[in-house]
Amino acid sequence: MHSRKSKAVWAALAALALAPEAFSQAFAPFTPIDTNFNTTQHLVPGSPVLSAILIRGATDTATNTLGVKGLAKDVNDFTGYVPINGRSDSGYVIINNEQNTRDSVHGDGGGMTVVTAQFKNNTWSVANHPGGRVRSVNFAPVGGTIANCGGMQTPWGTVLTAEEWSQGSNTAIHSNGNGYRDTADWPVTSFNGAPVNRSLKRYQNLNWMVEVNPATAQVVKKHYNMGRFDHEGGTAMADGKTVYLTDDATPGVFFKFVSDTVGNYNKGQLYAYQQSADGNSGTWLTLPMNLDTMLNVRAVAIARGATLFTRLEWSEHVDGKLYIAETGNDASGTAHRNGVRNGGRLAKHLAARLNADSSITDYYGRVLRFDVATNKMDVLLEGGAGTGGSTNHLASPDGLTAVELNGKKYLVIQEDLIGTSQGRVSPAAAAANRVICELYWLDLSIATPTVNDLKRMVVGANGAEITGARFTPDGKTMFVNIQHPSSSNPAPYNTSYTLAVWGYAGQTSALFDKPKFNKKSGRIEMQVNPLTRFAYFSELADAELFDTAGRRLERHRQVTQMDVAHLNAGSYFLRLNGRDVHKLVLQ
Amino acid sequence: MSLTFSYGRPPRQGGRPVSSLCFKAAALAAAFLSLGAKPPVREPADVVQARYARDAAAFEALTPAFRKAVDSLPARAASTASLRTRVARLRAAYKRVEWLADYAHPGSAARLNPPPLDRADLNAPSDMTVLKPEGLQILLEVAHGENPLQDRGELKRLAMRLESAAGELAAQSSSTVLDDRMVFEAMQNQVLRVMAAGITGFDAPATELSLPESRLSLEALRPALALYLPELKRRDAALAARLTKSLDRAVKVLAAGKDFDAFDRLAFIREAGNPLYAALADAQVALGIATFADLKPLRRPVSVQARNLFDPGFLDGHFYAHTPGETLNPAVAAVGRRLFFDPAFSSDQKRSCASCHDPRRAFSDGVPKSPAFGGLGTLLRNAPGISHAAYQGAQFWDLREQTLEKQIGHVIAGEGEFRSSTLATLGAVRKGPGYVEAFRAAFPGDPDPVNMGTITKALAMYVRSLARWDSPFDRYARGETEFIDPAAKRGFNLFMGKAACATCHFPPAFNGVVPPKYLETESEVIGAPARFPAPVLVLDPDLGRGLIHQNPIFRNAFKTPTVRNAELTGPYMHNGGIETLEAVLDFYNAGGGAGLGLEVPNQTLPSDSLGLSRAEMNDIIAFMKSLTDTTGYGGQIPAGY
Repeated sequence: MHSRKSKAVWAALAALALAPEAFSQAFAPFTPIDTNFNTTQHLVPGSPVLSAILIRGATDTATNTLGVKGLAKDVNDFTGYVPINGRSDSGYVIINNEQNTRDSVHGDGGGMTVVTAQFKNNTWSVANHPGGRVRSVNFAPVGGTIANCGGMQTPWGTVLTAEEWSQGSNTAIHSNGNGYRDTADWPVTSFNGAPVNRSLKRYQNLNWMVEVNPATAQVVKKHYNMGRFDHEGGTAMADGKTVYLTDDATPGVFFKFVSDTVGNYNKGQLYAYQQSADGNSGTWLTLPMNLDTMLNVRAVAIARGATLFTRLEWSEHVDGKLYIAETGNDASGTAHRNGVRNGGRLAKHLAARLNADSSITDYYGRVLRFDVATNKMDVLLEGGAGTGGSTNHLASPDGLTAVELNGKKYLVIQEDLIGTSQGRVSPAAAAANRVICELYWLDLSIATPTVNDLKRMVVGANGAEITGARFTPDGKTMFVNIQHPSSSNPAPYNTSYTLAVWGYAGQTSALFDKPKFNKKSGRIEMQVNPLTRFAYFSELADAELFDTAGRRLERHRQVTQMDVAHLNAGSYFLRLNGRDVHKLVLQ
Repeated sequence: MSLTFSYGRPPRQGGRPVSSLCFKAAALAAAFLSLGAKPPVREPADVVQARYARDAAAFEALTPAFRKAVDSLPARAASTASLRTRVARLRAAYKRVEWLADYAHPGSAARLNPPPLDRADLNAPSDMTVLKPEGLQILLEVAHGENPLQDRGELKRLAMRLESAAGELAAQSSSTVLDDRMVFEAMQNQVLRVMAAGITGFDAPATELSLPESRLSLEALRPALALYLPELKRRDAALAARLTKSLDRAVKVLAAGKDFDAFDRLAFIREAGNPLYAALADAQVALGIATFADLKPLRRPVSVQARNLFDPGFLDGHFYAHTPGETLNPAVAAVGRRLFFDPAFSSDQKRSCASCHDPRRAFSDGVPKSPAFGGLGTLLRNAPGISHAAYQGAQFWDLREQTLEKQIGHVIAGEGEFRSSTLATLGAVRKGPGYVEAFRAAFPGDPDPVNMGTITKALAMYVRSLARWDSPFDRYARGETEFIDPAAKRGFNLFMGKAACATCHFPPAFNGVVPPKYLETESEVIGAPARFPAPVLVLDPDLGRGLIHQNPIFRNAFKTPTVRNAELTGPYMHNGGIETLEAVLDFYNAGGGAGLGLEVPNQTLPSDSLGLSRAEMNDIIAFMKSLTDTTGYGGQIPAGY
């Protein structure tokens, strides 16, 4: 039994040093955290939240359009879900493969994998399909793709896949036979609804938007009229005409394509975004619709005064607002300055960050908010290391999606870290140079959110980026990709995989809310949320973490919560303000 | 204000009672509590942090003045001297905080003191932006150039960048929370930095500064150490004395080193640096301070147990496989060895890994470029020796993969190598005699033990089992023997000093993995010709890393390989274009490709001559040969191979 007298506490602390086992009994009750804290695999909340691996890249087999089987492509990035007969328990899960390597079965370069998935016997699994349970899309009819990154679903059930990583030469894509081996020129016979007679170098035929019908796993069209740049993805609006497109470059430009007709993107107009000087509105600059302009469209847009960003990533539309992830960049060098010299305008939030030499230091990135009606672009959430009693951190937001659950709308933000310094990961992880990416939920009803409002749901496996979160229409299942985990993690966590997560739908408050404390206890109380793996304290405190040998492992000043996800299974002691000691058991 | 310790108890094996200091602190805290006040706990780590913040602020305070001076100094010879003094003063101020900045705020340290070279954003492979160098090294280089104040645009830019980076560090240092573990890790980090990079001139392009600055950076540890010494004395007086003495000695030897070229680096490392490193690590344990090993599952490549830069286990090869803390599994390595020598996996069943990586040549093949599949021509590049391939964060000459596990896939699929596929490999292993049983035994508990994950793991584990760290040089450097070839000793000192080899080939692996953290693996542009010597020199057309990463600074860049076992792995360079070590030394002595008159944009190797004599070059070769250790390689070849 613990006593509230300070002397007794200190005696107990001495006992901790002498006999940790006896000490632990004195401080019952405590709640063991029933979960696996080994970060060589991903972390998702434990029961009642459940998860299953749907498909593993480079391990499971996929069938190509000729019926030939080969190992499925790897580096799972974008995920789409196309319901079968409108169902949330049966659909096509579409996965982009952000690759640039050779593959004699599914085709060299990038790829797309279509998994027929079903929820049966309380788990997600791969279901039968006449063309193969797992099918690869053949991009040969459009001259191939490379590095299929993000993407978007169209209102009519197709998917637009985005080819990232601008390619500069055939030598580079060929990569001594390890990459894209067919470097013959590619004929383009139509552009923006009109016939043309052009021939592109093969590398120029890469880095576009490509439309695919996942039901048939057939490619529909390479949309040359959406321009060639570092296509990360974007959002296809419900009007069936408008597509917002993001450019993952430094500087990057925000584009919009508007189709002439509803229901296809065969002919239309491409625009580049220009923010107004006061930042309260914006205009769309019309770009010349010809193939030469499209080949070099970022430069044309900048010359016409487009607004410059730093690596725009995914976007998501919720209630008239488009949320856009902006990764940031440790040191932009002369990139922004040259962009401005060439006619571009710095986005207002970036201009505020200019260094004296016109470079921009931007370690954390942010989530932008674009008002579709007024063209106003501002910042919803700045990334950063948590302050004011939090050990939260958000950096390099990349994947974005949204979900509505129990009447609340959440933005789901996924990290793809570009560095571990500056508090982008925990201090211990930084010292080990460990890139640990996380997936957070953000309640969109919070008017001016900060990093401290983020609720963590998934921690990536060692070495992995988290991306491609996508919900079933009922919001009750989230598919998410654990991309490029270390190949040396224990199987199955050693190749990219697509994870299904469910069981959280009725649980959002248990999942995310800070525990309630009994205020009158006289000591600082601690509770650990076994799902998010945060230890919460009843008041602001200096926290010290000890192992059972009495060695102090960590120390945090004036915090109300502490991340314990990086700790191995075992027993620990937390001492708060140098006096109140709690036992922490991780199983 | 009380100074309290929270080390916890001393290690169990000591069997001593818990620190009385702990009880004292307890009583003190209790007294505060009874008064209802929060104890203003000030631990040694807090004092260290306060000093860090103060010194970082002092460093920052110099930067606006420096910027103004750059603006206002008249363009006269006398002003150049003044400029150089100011740069040296800035550097000295930074050296006082370097040990903590480099450890606790590596992002800022990387802005303040990076190599004076163009950089690219590695996170954006298609980003062609070249980042101009900034920080104290390029500043030193510019200040020591001819007539630096003539065109001061670059100086102004550097001064502005420095001011912003220094401001960032000042802000970070004032808000950081340090712990005893961090303080000790940072001190050890700095000792490693001095041994493996400081005394080589790695971060001081004007080399005459490197010894005094190394001394300054070690003296900066003194006040921090003093906070822990009383408690250490109480626990282990002999260790406390050893620690004090080794720091004194290291500082003294560096202070006595007046001539960069003549400095005896081997003696410094052996008799001052390593003993200091060991004493700090021992003190951390004796004080009951947690170590990085207690922070499972987070790991680093530098072993917590190591007490010497040349200890066999100093670096953890598994770290670079992204499985830190894993140990060498002989059963898995044995399966890997079978696979390594088995020709069943090439599509013509004629080639194995050993075809190009022959254990008799320290796992290289003795030809400039290995014959390609089916005897049609050759592969693109030289087959490197792979005895220490596990100790780097990038594989292939062009650094295209990070781990050995991933590297193997390229060989399986390579047109010129196995010309096979992962599916065919899986089939061949499943059909191979005894493989399924061997995999089952090596990977117990895996329901389907033959898969690409286990196959690549077994091969990589085998390669990880090949490193040897017991060469004549290693034994001498560790102090296990007093014998060493005097030429090798001279050669090491040249390698680490005048010849500047170690500014790219870093100890202990003498490869491109950068100390003191050993996290980054570097490539360099040295301008290797197609052949050297040759009547007409031409730059080898291979773009190397430039094929993988489009940024122009990576054109003709190749990974820095180890020089361990180099005696056996000729011919040399990525193309096997240089046949002997003598010619390799000639090449570097001339300043690489650019020094030989070739047009090499972005050469990272200085193009001026090293000014080495033939005798000096022979000494360096003697040192490289003293690193040869192929113990047990003869027995690797299976019977009947």
